[in-house]
Amino acid sequence: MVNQLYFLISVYLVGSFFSILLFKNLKPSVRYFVTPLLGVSFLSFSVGCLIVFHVPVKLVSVFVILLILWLLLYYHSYFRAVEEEKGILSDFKGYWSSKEFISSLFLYSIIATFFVFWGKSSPGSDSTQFEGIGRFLGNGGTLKDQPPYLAFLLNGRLLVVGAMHCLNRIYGGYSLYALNPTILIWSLGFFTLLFRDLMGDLPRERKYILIGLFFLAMFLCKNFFTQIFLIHSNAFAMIYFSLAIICLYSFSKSVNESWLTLGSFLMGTATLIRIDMLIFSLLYFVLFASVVDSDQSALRKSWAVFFLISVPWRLFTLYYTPFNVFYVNASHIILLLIANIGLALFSFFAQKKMLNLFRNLPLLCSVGIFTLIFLSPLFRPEGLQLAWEVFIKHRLLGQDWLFLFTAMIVMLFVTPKMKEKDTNITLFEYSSWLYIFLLTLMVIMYDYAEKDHSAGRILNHIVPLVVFWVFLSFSHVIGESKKEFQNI
Amino acid sequence: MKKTLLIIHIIAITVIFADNIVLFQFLKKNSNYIKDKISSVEFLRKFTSTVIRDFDYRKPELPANENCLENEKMIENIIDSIGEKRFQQQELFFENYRESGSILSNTIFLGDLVHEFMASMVDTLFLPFVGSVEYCYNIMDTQWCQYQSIHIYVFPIKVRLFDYNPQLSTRQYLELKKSANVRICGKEGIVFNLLFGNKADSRQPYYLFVYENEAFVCTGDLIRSG
Repeated sequence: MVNQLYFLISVYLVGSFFSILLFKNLKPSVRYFVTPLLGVSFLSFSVGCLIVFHVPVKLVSVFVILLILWLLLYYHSYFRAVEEEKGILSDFKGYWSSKEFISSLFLYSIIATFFVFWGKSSPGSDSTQFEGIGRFLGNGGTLKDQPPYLAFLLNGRLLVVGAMHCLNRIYGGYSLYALNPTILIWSLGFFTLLFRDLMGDLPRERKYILIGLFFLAMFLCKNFFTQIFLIHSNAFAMIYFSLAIICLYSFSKSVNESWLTLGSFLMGTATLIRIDMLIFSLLYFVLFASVVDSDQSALRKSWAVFFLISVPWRLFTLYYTPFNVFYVNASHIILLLIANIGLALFSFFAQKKMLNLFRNLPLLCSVGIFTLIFLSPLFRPEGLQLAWEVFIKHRLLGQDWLFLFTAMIVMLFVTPKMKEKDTNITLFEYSSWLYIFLLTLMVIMYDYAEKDHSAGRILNHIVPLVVFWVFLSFSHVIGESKKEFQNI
Repeated sequence: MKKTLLIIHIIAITVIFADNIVLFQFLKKNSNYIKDKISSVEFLRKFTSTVIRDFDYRKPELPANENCLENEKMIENIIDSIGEKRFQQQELFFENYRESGSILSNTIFLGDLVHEFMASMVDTLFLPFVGSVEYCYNIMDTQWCQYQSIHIYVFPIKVRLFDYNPQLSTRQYLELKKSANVRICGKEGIVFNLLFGNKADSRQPYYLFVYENEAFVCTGDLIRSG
């Protein structure tokens, strides 16, 4: 058990080595909260690199890759600092010794220790492959050893969750069960911090009551809570995706470009956690258009960060994925890559030549997706029937999502009025509803009519966004909407 | 207008709070009672047919492992083999997967046990799952779902599918049971018995055999001598 605790703490420490070089314009508390998420990302990138080069995963080899990545980022920061005539060492000063860093590491360690010694986890059938591929890699296996269902494992089980299981085994842990709860509770704190920073101006007492209610509502929400202990990839996908969208909103309030870089970094990592996130990355970049406006450099940088993280791994898995396998085949990967690259090219073009159209991409895409769903009986009637049965009837109108879906519909009535108070709050509305439309379209087009359809789990990725949206909107009703957010 | 906005938001927040895990657990526990009550009113039955469609979360009672008593002697053997810390972690892993709804649990227990206790003894693990394209393979009272997962659990031990009779006779079963070095309870009444061959020998091929609800992993020699 102690070995697992060492691993969890090392996730934070690895993250802190990278957070010292990244997102420097964000305030320290945000950087400390994002640290374990960076740790998970960079450790996964390292395992991914080793897999690509057929090198067995060992602590030394992981360390070497981390060092190379760190040096690359260090030189990138160094040259930027030179350009801006700043000293890079000034960023390092006081980072480790600050009270905030020490207390955040302490808090993280307490959460990790609690879950390690509690020992509770909730495995399902899919959990066995996350565990299994982790053990395979941890025992020195490489792709040359050709494990069964290689394409499925590569595309659906390996990065990021499988990689975490692998590292836990290398640390001497037996079965990784405490990472999910630790990261989820930590992220719940992060959501709360962001809510505090972004909420409307309220008297002190009301503010703390509302923050407390937000924390409780999110923590107790059954679709959030049940994911805390589940050994799967959905919880991580939920955290990375939801935070990426909140980063867009934070940028719209602060015009601090670091939020966009962070959002694109998180979205890129989300596509490594689950391949279906390559569909929802389209949603992220469509919403991106509504906040970035004519800033071409920000758009270029964000796409670059996203592609740098997501594309190499998918090209690698494409090489090992035939056209006739279950789960995800080569044509799916090619289609997703083309869609993302296509959107990037269109965004660059539209931002330069058709700025108005570019700004209204969310609305245009909503209309487009809705039209496709509306026309789907003409080309995939059985798909629409399936989407209705599996997704709408059993999930949205079933007990699984009935309450949250009702809240989303109720919020539609206040959107026009709330838009007057805060234009950018529509980001949450668009992200939640467009997500559902895109998911419905995915169910229609993807030919899988089994009971264990993952649409229900994928739907949970927007739970934090829905809760965040409702509470944020409420804070603007009972308080004053802030005009300036310079401190975030 | 502010009042309307306030009311609508309070409704949305109340609905979110209603979607909490505590209420959900309560409904789970009383699902049959609630379902019966709702279904007794015809209008409600039609109206809520979707909502209450699968409104029964109660897990089926798992059969008790009556045959499986991990006695102190056996636990001592296990601790001797892998150490106390490792034993505690393994026990937690088994507990979590025993209680889960996964139909793959026994398959991965097999892989886990072979890797944990027999990594230095087994050259190749032979499995009898030949000629089946089904997701689950049944032998007597045991079920092995997605047996391909065993490969990634036992690596670097090789796994081969081989056409042999995995069913033990009563005489073979009684002989083997006496010589089991490790005996561990799986899921749904399955019992795992591991028989270590001559440790002085180099790695050997091992086989999976079954008698009713008990699985045995041992060398072919033990079967022939048994």
